[in-house]
Amino acid sequence: MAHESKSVPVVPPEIISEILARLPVKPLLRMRCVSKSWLSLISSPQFIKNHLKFSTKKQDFARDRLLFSNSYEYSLRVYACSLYSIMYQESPHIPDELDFLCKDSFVDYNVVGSCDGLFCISTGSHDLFLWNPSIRKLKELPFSGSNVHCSSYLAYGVGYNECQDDYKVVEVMGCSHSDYGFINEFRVYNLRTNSWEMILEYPSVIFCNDPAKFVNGRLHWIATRVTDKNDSWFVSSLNLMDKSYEKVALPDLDDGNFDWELGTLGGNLSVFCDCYKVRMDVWVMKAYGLVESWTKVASIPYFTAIEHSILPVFISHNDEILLQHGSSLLLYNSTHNTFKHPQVQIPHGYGIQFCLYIESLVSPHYVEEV
Amino acid sequence: MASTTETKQKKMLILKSADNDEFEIEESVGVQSETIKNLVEDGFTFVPLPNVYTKALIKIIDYLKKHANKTDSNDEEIKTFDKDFVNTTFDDLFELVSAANYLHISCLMNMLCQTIADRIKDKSPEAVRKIFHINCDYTPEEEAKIRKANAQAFEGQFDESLD
Repeated sequence: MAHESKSVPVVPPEIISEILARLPVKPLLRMRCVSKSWLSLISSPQFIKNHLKFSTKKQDFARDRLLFSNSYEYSLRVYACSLYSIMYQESPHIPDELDFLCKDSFVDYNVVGSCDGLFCISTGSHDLFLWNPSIRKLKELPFSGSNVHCSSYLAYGVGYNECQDDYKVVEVMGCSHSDYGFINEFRVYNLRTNSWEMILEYPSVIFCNDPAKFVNGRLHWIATRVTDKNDSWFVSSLNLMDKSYEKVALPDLDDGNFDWELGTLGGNLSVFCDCYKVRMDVWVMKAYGLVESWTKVASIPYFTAIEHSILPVFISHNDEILLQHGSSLLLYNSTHNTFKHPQVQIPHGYGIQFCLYIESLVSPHYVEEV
Repeated sequence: MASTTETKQKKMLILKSADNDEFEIEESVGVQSETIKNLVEDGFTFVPLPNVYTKALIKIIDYLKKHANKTDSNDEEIKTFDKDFVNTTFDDLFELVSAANYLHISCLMNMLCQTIADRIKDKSPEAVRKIFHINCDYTPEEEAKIRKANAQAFEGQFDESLD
């Protein structure tokens, strides 16, 4: 390649792309204004994927953020704060208030799942939204076709299908039917085509309506068989690639009086076993699908300072665990067996949902209108 | 790791820059570059580098020599070397990153891209244009529109300096 003038080096586009992929989202939005070619580079699906890959690889959780949301007087109030400042900042700080661009009155908004910085928000009935707070893009999804009535319930999950390079929202509608008994209907929304499809029925199982946990290309719900008189709960996974279902083997949980919840820690499927007011055991499946890889990473005692139930949100490399504690946060150090209060000032409210996410350019519109 | 080869018997390579300067280096130093490694595996000992100018090549050979002798004990020394290595002008960094890309030295490529990204992170689009020698191809109307669409990213003050 001819080097026209040695004093003005021209950086080839593939190197520009490598440099820009290492920037956080906010400066990248600014860089869209540099030139038309930079705008089209930053808006391309390939770049968005590469950028996400770099952000995920970052070890300093500079790109990880915690979303706080609560439906306050029927409007969704959302705040976010960097995970780094929650974990390490010693002085009080206030999270940023985010503008959820849709504020219908008398609607109860809830976060029903997230994946790669993209949130799915439900109004409890038909209305669903995809929202990326980092780029402030919101889209209302088309009607799924579920015929929701009073004896039915809805469960959701958001995930990514690597084969199709596409984001998916799964809606499960379960209902009792006088003729057929209990029936589940699965509908999958595909971001690329902006449309829903119905998939196989999965009969006789009741899904817990907590948002599904997305791990290893699969969505995971806690479920129980309709016919199960013992009311025993298990974990059911839906593979977004081939739409197959599986029961996920759990660790050998001790007998006793406890509740358990499903979560994700460090990208792994986790089980939180809560002997209320005694302790919480935190289990992580370190190699997906291997039952022997379930590891108890912590056993958190209920100190007297703990007044509400706790739920792990994040685990650091040195086993510090960030816990949701009612509508506040606690940081548990498992090495020293101590607690502290992060200095982030959480806005007042009840029923605050906490959700960890990564800053990304992933657009709810798939291809961004430029 | 014990080396069984005597100093004089070390395999050597000759690298030739775009401005026709030749540099002799040890093969073990050169093969940190995937491009050079592939040529060595094909039996070459003379490596012409038509895309790499002398000024950048000297710095890159320095880098390769330093990193070839990486041990647990000189970790701090290498960190200091790397810090000095990237402490230069944008134009030098661009020459180096193009050369690292051509030579396929992934750790150097990563370090240079990250350095450039960190240094432009807080800059205004105008400053970035000047740094990258880019002409703005937006009309004033188009630019106003794209700025408005990304208004959130323009809150606060930006660094207008070009270094």
